[in-house]
Amino acid sequence: MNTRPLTPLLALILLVALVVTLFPIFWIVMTALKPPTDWNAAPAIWIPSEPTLINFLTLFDPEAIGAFGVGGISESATAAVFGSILTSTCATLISVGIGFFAAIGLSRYTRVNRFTPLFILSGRMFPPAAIAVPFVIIFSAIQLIDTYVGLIAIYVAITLPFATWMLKSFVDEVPREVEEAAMIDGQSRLMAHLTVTAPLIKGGLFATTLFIFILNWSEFLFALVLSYSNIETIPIRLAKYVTATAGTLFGVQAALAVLAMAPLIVAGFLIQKHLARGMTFGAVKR
Amino acid sequence: MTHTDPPKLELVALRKEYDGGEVVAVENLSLSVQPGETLAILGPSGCGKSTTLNMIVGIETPTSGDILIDGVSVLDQPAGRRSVGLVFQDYAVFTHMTVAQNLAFGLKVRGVAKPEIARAVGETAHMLGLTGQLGLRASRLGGSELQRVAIGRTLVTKPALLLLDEPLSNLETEMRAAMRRELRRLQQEIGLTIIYVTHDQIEALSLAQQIAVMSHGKLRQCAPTDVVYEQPAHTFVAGFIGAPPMNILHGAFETRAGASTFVAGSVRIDAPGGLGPGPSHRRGLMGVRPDAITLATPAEGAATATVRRIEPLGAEAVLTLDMNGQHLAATAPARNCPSEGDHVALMFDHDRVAFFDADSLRNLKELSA
Amino acid sequence: MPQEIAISDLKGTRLGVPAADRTSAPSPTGAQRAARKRARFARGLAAPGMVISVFVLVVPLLVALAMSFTTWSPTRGSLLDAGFEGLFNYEELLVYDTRFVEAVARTLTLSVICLSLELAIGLGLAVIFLREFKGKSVLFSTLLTPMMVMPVVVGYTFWMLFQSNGPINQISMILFGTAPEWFRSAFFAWIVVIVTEVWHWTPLFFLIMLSGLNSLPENPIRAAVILGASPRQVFWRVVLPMLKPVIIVALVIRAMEIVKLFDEVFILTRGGPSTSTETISLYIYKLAFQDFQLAYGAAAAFLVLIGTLLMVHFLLAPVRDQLLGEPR
Repeated sequence: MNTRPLTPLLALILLVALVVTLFPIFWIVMTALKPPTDWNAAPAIWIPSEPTLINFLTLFDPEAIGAFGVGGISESATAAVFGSILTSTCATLISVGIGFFAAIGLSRYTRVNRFTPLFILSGRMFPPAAIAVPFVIIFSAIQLIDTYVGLIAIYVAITLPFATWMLKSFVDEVPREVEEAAMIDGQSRLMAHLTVTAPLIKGGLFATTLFIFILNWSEFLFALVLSYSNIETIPIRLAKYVTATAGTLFGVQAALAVLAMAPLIVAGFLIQKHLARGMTFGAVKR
Repeated sequence: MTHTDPPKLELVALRKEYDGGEVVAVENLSLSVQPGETLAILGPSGCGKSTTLNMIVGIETPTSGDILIDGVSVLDQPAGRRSVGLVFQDYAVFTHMTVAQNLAFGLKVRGVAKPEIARAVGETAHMLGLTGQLGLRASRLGGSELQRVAIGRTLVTKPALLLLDEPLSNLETEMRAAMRRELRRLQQEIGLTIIYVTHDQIEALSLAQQIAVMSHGKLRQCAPTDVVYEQPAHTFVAGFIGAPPMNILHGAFETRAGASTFVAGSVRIDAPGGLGPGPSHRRGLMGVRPDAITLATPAEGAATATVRRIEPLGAEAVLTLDMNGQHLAATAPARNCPSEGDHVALMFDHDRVAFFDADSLRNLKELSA
Repeated sequence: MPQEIAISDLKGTRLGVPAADRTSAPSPTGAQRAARKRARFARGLAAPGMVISVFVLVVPLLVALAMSFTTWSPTRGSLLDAGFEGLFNYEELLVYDTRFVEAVARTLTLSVICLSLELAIGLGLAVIFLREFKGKSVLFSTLLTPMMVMPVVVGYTFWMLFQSNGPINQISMILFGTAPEWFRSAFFAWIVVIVTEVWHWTPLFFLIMLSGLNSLPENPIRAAVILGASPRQVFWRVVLPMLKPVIIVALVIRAMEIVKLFDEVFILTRGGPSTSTETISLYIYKLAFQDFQLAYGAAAAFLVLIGTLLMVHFLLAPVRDQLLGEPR
């Protein structure tokens, strides 16, 4: 098709889209750099006159902000960052690992019928608030509530359908013949899939891993209802800066938000061309 | 009568470059097509024939040159306003519509009244044998039906010129023959002017009155079918058309007292006069079709050759001959055929040989004209 | 296939083929053993995923289902002692619980508004991106940023933006001379929720629509142009219908997410003022974790699941093949 250049009107629309897209991100970054006096000033301060890193320091040293006369923070965010990294990493690796074998099974050894996707999707349709109820009951009974193991198990279960279908769409693109060649050469099925199929979908495995990591890192509701005092993740920590006695600690909250979203934005850029596939369970390819 | 009409289509020094001139897809292409005539553009893939069609229809803009329809330049008219229809190789039928909706599309977007559309669609469907399928979704159709829908969709808009891009190449062999007959019938019934792109010479020879042969973006020859077959303008054309292709003999022209003779080993054939000024002895090529060579017993002929290989093809056999190191193909009746290793005399049909310049590889008739 | 081999081998024996010739063909038991081995391998591949699904999804779902037929709550002793109450909860929800019905209606309204806006804006931007311009790939990446931000962060960011002394009201004062208290009025709270959702997820539509547009076959579009269609007609009559499967997939996936919408609303409004922005997920959360009506909440969740399943099933019907990939 002949591609046409932009008209001024279309360029203006793109400019508006760009400003609208970036403004909230700009605002949260600016807030993270504001000293406590600027947090909630009226009228609102757009760009802090004296940008400071005090909010970031306070995340890991709650006393730091005392110099500004702000109190009420008793805990550091270290545990939350640790908790998020631990649960997201473990859950992602397990989910992608299991998902890889399930994807091979679906792509190579199973006749997928018309209800299979619906069955797999149905796990994603149930309101998480409702799945959380039996989890709380069962996990209380088997002492998994308020533990990382419990949270990781749930995250694996939630992201497994995503991992499986995304990986299946990559495995589908590998011709069977290359695996069969390896099997004829005397490799076992398992070895053939591990040494031939896996390297061929290296890019797909990488994209799936990052994609699942984004999902796990962002999860809020299950962490909210399944954590009491032993475990914490970043989204939970963020919520705690609202209920602190000093009102809303906008700056500190923004600082943690910036730390939390930065890796996701980087990961998102890295897997940009596979995002559509991940979000649509592999239905939309590139 | 036809010669008083302006040609339906004229391409004048058409040129198309890509990447700022780094790739030249079509170079200095000039040809004309008369009303009611069918022209086949023939060439190997990548020779610029599809680009030419795209320029005529208006989805690509030529870098330079002009396109005239009925004597009027259409370059400033966008695609869709040129009264030119194009049928794609992959048909490009709208699969989300029914057959009837496909056929009606061109009229609907032009705002033609509904009863008129219904009448035109019914007529076209009848002509193409699609009446029974009008209500079907196009996604359910098979290859030849899709083809018919694609052609019908174009014919409904009554184009002055119908372009077909490799129309039969996606069909099974059997369907191909049937579609070829059908196209010929349409051609006669509607009297359309058709330009037809193909890499299949049988298709070109059986459907077209004129053949334009292209290679590397250049027009090698544009002439009536029999002329292209018997007097190729270029050795490329000679080698491209016919199976097996025309034989090319390497030799020399000897001119004595205004009469020229082509000499290659023991072959001596009178060449047409008017070779023009030049040395009395110069290198040249002679082309001769395999079926213009007659085999005889050695004593009678001017030239002899050894039979190297015989390929029986039913009624005929194709023989590979070795004549002083030059290989030739010839056809002979299968029942009266020499055997491998035999020495045979060759007789050339003097009316059916073509001579080429050794340097430009072009037909001497063209050069002197 | 294994059976065929077995039959031909038997025939061979009957016809008296020398034994030496037969050894090259697999014996019937060998072929069957290979097939069994293959099946066992396939089961092995699926096993870990199956185990996880059963223990972490199916069992809790069954527990929730069983619970939904009781009126149990943690204050009333063990779940095992709870009596079977039949469809009591379901009847209560559908017939008497106006808050539930309102939450469902609200969620559906929200879906329709958000999805229309997201689709329209996303598709519009994608169409602009079919043109060639400088900085296209950088702008493309930038426009995708919102969908990578975690919902909780999105919630807090928009909460900050819409504070009464926040930047949005500052702009509003300049433009209109007035500014609302966003979170005090049902109408304005709704607008905040919609704006937040649209900002967060329009990039997904943009991404999917652009992928879809770029993978459309070009020739039908060219054919429409040649047949005389104007650019507008080409878009509405050819491009859009060809894009339909992609649009449906995007809508279904997003609709499922909106049914589950929790994080942003929880942070922005907690369903307030009063219950005016309470979505179905938020209501179920409140039932279960604030009022401890666990059984009742579970019943509500099952109704939502059934509704979503039906919706997805019918919406996906025309494009199921595409979602499944090429049939083998």
